[in-house]
Amino acid sequence: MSSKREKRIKEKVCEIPVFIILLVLALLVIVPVIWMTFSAFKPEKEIISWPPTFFPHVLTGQNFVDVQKRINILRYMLNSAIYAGGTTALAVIVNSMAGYAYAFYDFKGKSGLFLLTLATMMVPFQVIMVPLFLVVFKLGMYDSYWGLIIPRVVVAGSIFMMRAAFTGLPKELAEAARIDGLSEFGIFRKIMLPQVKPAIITLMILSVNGSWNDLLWPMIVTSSTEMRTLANGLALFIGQNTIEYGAAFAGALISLLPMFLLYIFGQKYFVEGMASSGLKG
Amino acid sequence: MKKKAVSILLAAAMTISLLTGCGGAEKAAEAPQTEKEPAAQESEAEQAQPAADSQTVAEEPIKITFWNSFTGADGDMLTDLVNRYNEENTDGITVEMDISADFDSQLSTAFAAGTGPTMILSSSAYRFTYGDYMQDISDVFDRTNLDKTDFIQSYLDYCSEGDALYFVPFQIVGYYMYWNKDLFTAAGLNPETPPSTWDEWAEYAQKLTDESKNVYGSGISYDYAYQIAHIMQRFGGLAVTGESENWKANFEGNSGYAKFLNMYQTMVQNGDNPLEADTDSMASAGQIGMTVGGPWVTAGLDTAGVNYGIGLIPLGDAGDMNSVEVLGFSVTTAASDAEKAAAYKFIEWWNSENAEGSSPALEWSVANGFPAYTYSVQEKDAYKTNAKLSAMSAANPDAPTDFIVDSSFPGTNAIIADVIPEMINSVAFGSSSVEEALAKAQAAADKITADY
Amino acid sequence: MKAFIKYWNKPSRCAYLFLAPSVILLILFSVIPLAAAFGLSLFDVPITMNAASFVGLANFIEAFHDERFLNSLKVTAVFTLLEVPLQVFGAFVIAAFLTKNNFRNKLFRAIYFLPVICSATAVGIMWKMILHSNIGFITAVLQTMGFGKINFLNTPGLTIFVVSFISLWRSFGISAIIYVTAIQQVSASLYEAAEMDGAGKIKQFFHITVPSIRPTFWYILMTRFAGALQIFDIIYITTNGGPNYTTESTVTYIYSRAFSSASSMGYASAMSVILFVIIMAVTVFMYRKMNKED
Repeated sequence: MSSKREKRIKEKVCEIPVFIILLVLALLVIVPVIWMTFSAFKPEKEIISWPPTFFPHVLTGQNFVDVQKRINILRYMLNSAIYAGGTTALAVIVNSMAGYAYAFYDFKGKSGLFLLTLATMMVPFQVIMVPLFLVVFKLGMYDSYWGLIIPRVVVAGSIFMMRAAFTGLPKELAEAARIDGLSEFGIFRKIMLPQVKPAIITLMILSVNGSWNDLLWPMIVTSSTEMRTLANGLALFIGQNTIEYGAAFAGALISLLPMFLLYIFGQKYFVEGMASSGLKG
Repeated sequence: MKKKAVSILLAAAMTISLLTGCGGAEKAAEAPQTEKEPAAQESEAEQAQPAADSQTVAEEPIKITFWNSFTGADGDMLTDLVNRYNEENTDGITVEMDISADFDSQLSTAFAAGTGPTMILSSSAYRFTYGDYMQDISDVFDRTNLDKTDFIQSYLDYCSEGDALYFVPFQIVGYYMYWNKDLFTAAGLNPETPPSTWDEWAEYAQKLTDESKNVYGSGISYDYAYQIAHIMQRFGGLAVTGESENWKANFEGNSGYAKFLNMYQTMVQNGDNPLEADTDSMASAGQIGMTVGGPWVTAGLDTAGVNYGIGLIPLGDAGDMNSVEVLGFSVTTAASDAEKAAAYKFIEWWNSENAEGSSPALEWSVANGFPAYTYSVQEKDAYKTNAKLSAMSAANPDAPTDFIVDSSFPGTNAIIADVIPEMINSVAFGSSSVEEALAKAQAAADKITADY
Repeated sequence: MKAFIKYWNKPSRCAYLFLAPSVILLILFSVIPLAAAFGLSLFDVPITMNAASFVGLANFIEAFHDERFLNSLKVTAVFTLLEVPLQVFGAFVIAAFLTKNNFRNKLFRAIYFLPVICSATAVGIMWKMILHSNIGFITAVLQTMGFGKINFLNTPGLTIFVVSFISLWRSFGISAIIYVTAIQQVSASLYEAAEMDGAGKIKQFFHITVPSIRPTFWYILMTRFAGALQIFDIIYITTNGGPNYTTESTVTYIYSRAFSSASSMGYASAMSVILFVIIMAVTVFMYRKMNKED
């Protein structure tokens, strides 16, 4: 009895340094972000000044007005949403199927295919950019949502992540379902997929975030301004010779907000993931 | 060998991946891909077809695409002007402008696929990289009301190769000296007399520097090759001279360059010049006494409310000069004849006066502080009375205008992007002596000149 | 029809069906461009690829004599050694403290995740501003605290640490959250059993948590590794390789060779092939280890 209480106390004492470490890290992360947020509300003159300020001396909404005036935020956001949403929806299906196959099946050429998949993430995009563009162009997908989305669906890293998530599941689950007469696809969809919900949420967040902030691909694969994404629009405030800091930070906040809300929303599902993972292992 | 090489390579890559790929499903998906290929190769021919059609019905509405890299505040003004053209013009022309944050990526991929915009706006040096995709537009003076003799010849030279003209000038970018008048006063210097020689610059820099206030007298950035180049050539002339097939690099043994590098090194060591890549922000924050930069520096200084003066960069031992880059409109090979004609109309409009005697070119020049490239704009009152422009155009009109290399040297990119940065970095951070740095620069530049 | 389904329903065959969509897309949009890029390494070809002359291995020979390329490999190696271990292990330790779904942990996770969703450009210019040697907020604060004037972004030898820090700052949140999801996946019954055996928290961590999240560990290690060896955006925005090329990573250099200077796509491709071989060799090595563990 007493030993259990001691253990409890020991755990509580341990938690204090842990909390301090977490807090310091959080400050390290959040202070620059707060600086950026405040800067978005400062006049340009105050962002670049000596001595530098943290809290705004003058509060202004001008930077947001500038952003709103210069770019068609709604149109660009819609494009970003289509790009991010389309890519993510397909990415979840395709990458989790592939990850499942690598985790659960033994087949000829498994190692080779997996390594080939991994190999594709080892060449800088700038180098394959031109040939990739030629492929997209020859498939007739230039300047279309399809051209934007399809080439970005399969991500070696995502396949790898789903593989990792599925590898953690007990193989007996599949065996039991097979005996029950479920088809292989049925096992995947009805038994296995629900077990890796948190990983799917992570994949979705990664994929949405990746395409939401993607600058280069939407720019080269679309040519009309109606196809531009938010990230492209915000790049306009970073000139070749001058940077409009206030507008750039304001734009960054505008683009950050939907992602942050999505994350908070997604985090709710982590809890469910936790609840459902009390498997009969 | 042209063009085919890459197509063959791509086809080979497809075949190889077909062979290595396993499973029947992939093959099925591959087949339409390979079938499509020859069709796509003829895309150029296809593109020409509708173009010819639309030319026969000349007054049909036509949409042309226009790409440039004018991110930032001046791009905003360009957007307004293009919108105005779209509203004003009666030829049914719509210019669809796209400002790119990564112009090179966008251009190179588009050109490689045989597509691309009708018109681009870029530095005239782009013809050395993308020249194969630019049309000769020397007939622009015959087919529009533009008067060739109104254009200042030395700027047209930047845009031409022999008789072929690849650009119509749009903007002349020169670098100037800016000094902070308040800091001059604080240091006991006359705020109305900036340095006129580089010895004075060094002397003033020392006086202006105030460590307690974090103020530096001189703002030369080791990470700003354009700035370095504009200054350096005043000390030691052009880095590459000569003519095609016979280019000569002038780094090693160039006493002017050596003098500049020594001066820079001394100022850094004495703490009169910060060891900092981003000196423009410091100038805007009022922490720099004197700096050199393009007209856009004034935008930052104005927003920050800095009390400053503009003047010409002090001349050095290399004599009178007025180094500039020329940016211009060019029409790409992706443009049909009808599109080309529409682009001409737009360029004509850009340089045409309205009822009040103003033109977009004049507005652009005055608003952004870029010197004029036509005599007619130079004569305008709005131009002459502009304080910034008058300081900037005080340069001797007969002085040579080449920027760091002979304006027809195709390797200019490599000199500015590689040779000069390597040189200034090794001096700034003491990894080699001035002589060694120049010798290395010479070797690197020799390799580049040998290619052309 | 039934026979068809039955044929494909065998575990060893249906794996191909599961893989087909991803493999088709990979071949079209990754393998073909990759092979083409590799082919280009044997040519002297500009960025627009309209003319090409075969030069054999000349690009590779040039690369091994190119001081800046060799230097960039060194920079990349240093960056990777700084960033990857901290990211892979540090994020794991933090994740272990954040697995419980209480309010405190959710708040910390949300904070750590913030930089992940910021655009790289915004993050880059923000750090460039606050670490500015003259007008930077952090520089000024440290100076008033008596640390002297630290020139974070313009000091050879120091700046690479700063860049690694910024890169870590930006992405450790996502690594931590991936770990958290993996730890949460571990069956609760395992912990209950250990609890009954009287195992303490630390023992549970090493005997249950660590082995259970192995696949995730490998995932993060290998993707981070490949990512670090291709570091580009943060460097491009903050230092662009400076000061004196001490932060010029291989991809930063490849990019400048492909576009900004003499525009030699062939040479850029050749350097990429070399980088590819290095990354692939390490990956295959790790992959072998990983498979042994599975």
